[in-house]
Amino acid sequence: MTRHFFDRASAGHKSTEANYLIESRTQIERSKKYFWIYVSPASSPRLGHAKFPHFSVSPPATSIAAGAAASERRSAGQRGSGSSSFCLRLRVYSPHRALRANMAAPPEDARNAYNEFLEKVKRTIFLDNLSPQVTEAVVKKALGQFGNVVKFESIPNLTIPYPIPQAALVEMENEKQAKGIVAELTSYPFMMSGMPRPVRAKPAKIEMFADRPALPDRKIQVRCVETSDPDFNVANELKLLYKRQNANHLAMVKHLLDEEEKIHKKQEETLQGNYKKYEQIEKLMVEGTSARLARQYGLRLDDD
Amino acid sequence: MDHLEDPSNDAPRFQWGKKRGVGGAKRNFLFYESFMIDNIIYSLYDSIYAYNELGEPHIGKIVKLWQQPDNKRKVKLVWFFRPNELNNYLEDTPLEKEIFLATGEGAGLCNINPLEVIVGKCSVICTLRDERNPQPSNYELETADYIFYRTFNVQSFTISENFDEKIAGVEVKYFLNHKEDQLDSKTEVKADTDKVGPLIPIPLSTSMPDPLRILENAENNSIKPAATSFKKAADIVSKLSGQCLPDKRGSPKMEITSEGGNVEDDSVYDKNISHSGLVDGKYLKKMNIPAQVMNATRLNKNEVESNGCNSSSHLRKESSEMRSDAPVDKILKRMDTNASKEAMSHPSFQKPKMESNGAGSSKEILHLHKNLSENRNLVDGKTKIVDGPEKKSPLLAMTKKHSDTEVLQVTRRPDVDKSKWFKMKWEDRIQKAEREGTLVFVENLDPSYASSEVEDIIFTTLQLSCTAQMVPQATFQNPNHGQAYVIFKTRDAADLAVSKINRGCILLPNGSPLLCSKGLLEVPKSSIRGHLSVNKFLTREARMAVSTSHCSQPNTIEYEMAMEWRLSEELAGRSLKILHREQADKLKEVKKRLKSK
Repeated sequence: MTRHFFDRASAGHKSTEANYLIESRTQIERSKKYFWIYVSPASSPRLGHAKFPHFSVSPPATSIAAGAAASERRSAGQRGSGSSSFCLRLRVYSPHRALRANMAAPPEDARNAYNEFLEKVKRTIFLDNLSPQVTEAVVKKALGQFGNVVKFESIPNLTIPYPIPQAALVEMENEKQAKGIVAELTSYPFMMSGMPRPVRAKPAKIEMFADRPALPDRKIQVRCVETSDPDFNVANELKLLYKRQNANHLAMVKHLLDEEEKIHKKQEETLQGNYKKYEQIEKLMVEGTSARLARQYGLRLDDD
Repeated sequence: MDHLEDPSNDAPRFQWGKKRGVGGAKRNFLFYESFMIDNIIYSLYDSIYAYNELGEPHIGKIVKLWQQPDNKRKVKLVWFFRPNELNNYLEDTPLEKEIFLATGEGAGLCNINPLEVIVGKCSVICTLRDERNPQPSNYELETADYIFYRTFNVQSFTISENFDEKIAGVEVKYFLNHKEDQLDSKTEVKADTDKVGPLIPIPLSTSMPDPLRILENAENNSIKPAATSFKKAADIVSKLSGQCLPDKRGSPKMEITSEGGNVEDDSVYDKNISHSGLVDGKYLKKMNIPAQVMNATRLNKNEVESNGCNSSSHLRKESSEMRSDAPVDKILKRMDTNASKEAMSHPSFQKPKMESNGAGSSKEILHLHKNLSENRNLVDGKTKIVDGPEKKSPLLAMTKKHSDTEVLQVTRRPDVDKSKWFKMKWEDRIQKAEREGTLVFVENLDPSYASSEVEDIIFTTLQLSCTAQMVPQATFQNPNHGQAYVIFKTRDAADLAVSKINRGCILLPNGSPLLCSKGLLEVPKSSIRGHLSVNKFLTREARMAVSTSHCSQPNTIEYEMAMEWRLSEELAGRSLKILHREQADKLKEVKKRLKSK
């Protein structure tokens, strides 16, 4: 996008989205700036040692103290300018640039870190349908028979507005142990501080980790679409489609949870019925009714 | 010393715009009306972001631009205050995107800063109900970055809706909304005498051959002998310049003079178009006149104002005399002849003078060179104006609209905000951010993105620092859409981010537009479905056996119930899988319609 230099009407005083985005790019480029730093030979043995920045933006003051600080800043600047004849001026890049250089890890380190993360994913299992009573100690004790549990990390529910079962990521000592747990828990229903719903185990995936590192070689280019662009309408349609799909997804989740609720109630009724039967039998045995009836009918209930 | 590097390679492209005048005690301070950096034009009274090391950039309005003798560029900014900076003085809840204009006298009103502190432009709209303030349209309000209708007096620390006539020596109309007509109006900013000195227009050169030649021609053609004062000569030159310019818009004087010469002007312009090579030379030579005329006009107007004469009536009389005594076509022919003579004899004309006269002629030649260079600069500026109508064609307009979409390369942001000494648990941080109003929920991300990549995207598109955390993909999460919680530093930043993302359109590489909302979704506790209490009838040994975790044995009621749960989960998984597959197909179908994906 080019603009006529003297065309003040188009430059204008109204910043549109395009201007804002151009400014965004300009900000990135302009972040590569430097400061003039005055260094006094008498105060510093090395020329590279910075004394203080020559200038800084004076923020607006909101109180008397801030005003005094602003005055002190201006007076400090004046002192600096007054002593310019005895100083040398060096160009030193801003701390942001240096920090950016330091923080930008070399590609090899990033790749190594990502590979380590992949290894971690391989030896991690995803546990689902956990009881609310399950804690890290319970998991370590329960899975201790399969191997050594290195780390336990529960996955909180932050987005689904319904009560869903608890899930967790469990890192084992090696990949073999992780595979063994998955195979064992898939073959037989495994209860962990709760019954009769079994715990489900799956191999972990990359997207399950909230603190996963970025893919080293990925380059992301985002497009900021203006209202005049033909894709703007398509993008709005995509937004509406996403909202609709999200609503459908939540509706499906709610339906599935309702089905689970039905199964839960059904099993609870079954368990209560069995409990009543057991209670009645125990009552007959304790009261001696069964012995009396046996003697009357001439039956032998003992094993003798 | 490792950081020492030549900054010329990294320095952005910079160019000053229109010059306003000179100032200072020695008249060596150059004042400008605008400047351009990296193809972005900043003008006087633009609202800008100013660099701030501590957090969000400051918002200010440019009221003065100048360059010092040591080539340092300076800018004077009048500040706006954000609501969070005035928490102790605000008695009510500020509006969304509201800021406050600084007024009064004292610290905090305005500052003189290096030009490098400007990091971007922003749009600030005034919504004050006042006759001096043109009311903004709904579109302007919607697209504005900030709005203001109140002021903060930095002297009395009060917030009010009263606007003084002048703020920091500038008329209040330049701080309010302005129409297109006001953009070209001349500014009336007074210079700071303590620091910079008075602002003086550029003086006109005393040795100007063209007015003298024109006077001689006028005398030869029996024009009434005008006074030898410089004022009248300047008037005559200004009229001729009005007739030469192809742009007919301008002062009423020019309109009057152009009425009689429409045909000639059009014919001259057509000739210029038909003969590109020859016409360029002639036209460039003709453009030498307006440069001098502009200076003459400035001096002329100053003298007229100082003398108290009625300039318009006087100029009209002169124009009528000129029209009656000397036809326009004759004058144009003479000017063409003069231009061609100058062009043809310019090289040979200089050499004899240097050889014959010596020091005096060399000074004159140097002076001419300076004038020519200045004229060429102005001519270059003028030719760009001529190219203006070409950009108004519909094809160019369509091309321009299509190219408005910007593709931004996401780059790593500086991680200065991340603390390595103490890290709060993420759930606690979310709760805290929710209370402070700085939490934003971003949706429709690529599920494979990492938290750091989301932070980079936000920084690149919105220029806001944040901390992000991707939502893990668990059982009931939609695998087609990624979600993330983003924590900004301030509530204003969060509001700005929500506004920008939802009102605009940011497309990710996979074609998904970003969506966001504020706040944390209230979620209930974990479910206990399927986990029945069996403590009623189990013995102590049995309860311990259950808590130690075990595999269920076949032919038991526990095993049957477990199998029932397995079946239910399998059916649920298949249902979700089918739904997500259908949704993915639908998304893919719509994304195919994106043209420049």
